[in-house]
Parts: sequence; structure tokens; C-alpha cells
Amino acid sequence: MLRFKMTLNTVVLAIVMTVGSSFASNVFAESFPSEKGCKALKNPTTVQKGWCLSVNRRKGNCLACHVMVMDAWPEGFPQGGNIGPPLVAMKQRFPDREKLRSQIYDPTTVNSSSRMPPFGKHKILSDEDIETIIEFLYSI
Amino acid sequence: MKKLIPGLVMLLTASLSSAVYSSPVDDIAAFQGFFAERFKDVSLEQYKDGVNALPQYADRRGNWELLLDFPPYEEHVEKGRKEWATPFANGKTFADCAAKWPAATAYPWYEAETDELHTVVGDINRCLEENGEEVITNLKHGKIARLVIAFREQFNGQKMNVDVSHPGAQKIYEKGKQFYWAKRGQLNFSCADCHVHSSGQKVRGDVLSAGLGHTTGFPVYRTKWSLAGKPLGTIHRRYGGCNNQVRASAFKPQGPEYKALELYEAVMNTGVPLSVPSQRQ
Repeated sequence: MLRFKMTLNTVVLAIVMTVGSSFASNVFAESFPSEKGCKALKNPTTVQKGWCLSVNRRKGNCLACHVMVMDAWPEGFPQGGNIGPPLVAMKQRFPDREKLRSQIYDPTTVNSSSRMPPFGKHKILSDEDIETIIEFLYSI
Repeated sequence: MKKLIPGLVMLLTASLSSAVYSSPVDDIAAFQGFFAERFKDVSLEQYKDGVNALPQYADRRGNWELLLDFPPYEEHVEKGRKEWATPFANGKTFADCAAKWPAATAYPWYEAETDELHTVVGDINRCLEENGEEVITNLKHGKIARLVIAFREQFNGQKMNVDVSHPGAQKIYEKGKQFYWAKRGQLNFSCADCHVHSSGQKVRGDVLSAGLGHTTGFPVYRTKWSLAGKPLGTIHRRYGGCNNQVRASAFKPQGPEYKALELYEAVMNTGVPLSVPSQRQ
């Protein structure tokens, strides 16, 4: 009987985990949609707004050069390029928010021949866009 | 002592400026040496295949070769050959003009008497004008591209060899070199940023071609262009597209900027054989 109970518990746990994880991945797909899905988002969070700005080809287009290392990746969404370093553990790598902001705003201040566009200086992104993208980057 | 200082300054300036300018021969060695080091298994001749020559593109090369079993550009090439051979109203043909032109591998060529850089496109229109025909105004696609193919394909397999020894030619060469290495546009990219420093790397799913070998396959048949119904394009059409992509204003085809750039690229390609036309994505 005790054995049966344990088995039952395991089964229940397994069901809970399966349902839970599929629920989590659904939530994830909703959180980080494709470029088209971004337009359809209602009341996006700041992190979602940052993701959408960073994948939009007319805005950040970070994926042109960077891979983003995230817990899960939207299914079927193409990976990024390999010209810049992977975007991973951003909070650990850029504990100083100002340094990250400056790198996006105008990377040529650190390296004059940088191949990263000066997003702020050349008005590709607004100051607000950059702050929003930082919020997203700090979440991955 | 007072007289000495200006002399010293002049000497210093002279030595500085000679350090800044390098000769085309040194430039070729540096440029080709960079790619020899970056893509060790790719020979100079193989750069005629453009991005298809790069190991990073190896998995897609098979598709490209398959496509060339029945090349999509064939009908255009045949049409161009007919246009090339069709006599003008005065009975002469393009071949009569081309008899006075240098080999396609020597283009763009510099005419010292007039201080002018000649491109194949420019010489085709000059030929039309001299024979009382209407010049071609669309210098990016269509008939002009077909005629350039008809001329250049006659030299397929021969190696690029452009003479820039004349000071006048060198002046234009320097302008082209400056264009190639200068950052431009809202995205702040130079030609070299993508096609030298990032060559073989991925922009999303696309592989960036090596700067070495650019121009040797032009005019090209581009799948992207074919979707809009204008599959053939001259090298200046491609330059314009590149400039737009970095969000800069494109210059006019056959204007001084792109002619100088074409000269610089042609010189960097010294030794790469012609392979005209080519198919590119």
C-alpha cells in the first residue's frame, strides 16, 4: 500500500511537472514573440518591450550580430549572427549600468573602429529605447 | 637655427606622409595576405566564386553548384550576345569599338590625356554615342548589364590586372581606397567592416562575402533581384544597395565615387580570374 502511495505520488508529481513546464513554455512564447507577434502584444511589460526593440530590424536588430543566450528560445525563431559576442549574463558582465548604456549609445568612445553601430548618437534608438533594451538585457 | 626649424618640420611632414600612403603593390600584398591568413584553404583563384568560396558557406555551396547546372542567367546572356552582335544603323557593331579597348581584365582603365577613368559601362555608352545611337540611361540593370556581360565573358578565366602606375590613376585609386575603409551611413559601417573584418561571419543567417573577388563575377544574376523582375545588376547597382543597407544615401551609378571604388576593388583583385556572369543570392 505504501508502495502504491509512493507510485501515485510520483505519477501526480510527474503530471504536475509536465503541465507546469508546458504552461511555462507557453508563457515564454507569449513573453518573447517574433517581430510580428510584438505588434500584437497588449500591455507589454518593460522587458517585453525591450525584447521587441532588440529583435526589430529597424530598431536594435541585435540579432544581426549577436546570439542571445536565454533560458528558452522562441520556437522556430532564427538565431543571431556571430559578429559580436553572445549576449549572456549581462548583469554580471555589465554591473555598471552606465557602461552598458554607453556601449549601446556610442561604442566608438571605447573602440573607434568598433563594428557596432552608435545607436544613440546616430539616433537609431531613442534614449528611452536604450533604457528599455537595458531592462531586457538585464533579465537574460 | 631659426632657418633649421622649418626645414625640420618639412622633413618630418614628408616622412609622416610617406608613412601614411602605401603603394597599390603594398596594398595588394596586405589585402590578399589578410585573406590568405583568414581562409587558409581558399586559393586566390577560388575567390572568383564570391561567398561560395568560403568554408563558412560550404554547406550551401552544393545548392549553388546545382543551380549552375541550368544557370538562371543563360537566357539573358544569350540575349546580350545578340544585342552585342546586332549592327548599328551605320553597319558597325560593338565589336568594332571593343577592338580598340583593353582587355576586360584591365578595366577600369585610366586615360592620361583626358584624365579619365573608363569603365566598361562608360565605354559601351561612348561607343553608342560615337556611332550615332542612343545611349543607355539605366546603368544598373537590364540591357546595360547584358552588354557588359557580352564583353567581359570573352575574358573569362583570365586574371585581373589593372594598371594604376600613372599618378592620375593613383589619385583616383586613393579616393576609392578611402571610400572602402571609411565608415558611412547611420549604421556607421565601412565596406571593410563587413567584407574584411567580418568576412565569413554571420549576419543573422547570411554569411558575409570576402572583399577579395568582388567585381570579378559582375554583372551578376541575383535571386533577390529576380524576385522584383530585374535579376541582372551591374557592380554599381550592388554598391548602391550596400550603401542603402548601411542607411547611407547611394551615389549615382557611374559617378566619380563608385568608379573610384570599382578601381580600388579591381586592383585588390589582381590575379583573380574573371567569371562572368555569376549567380549570387
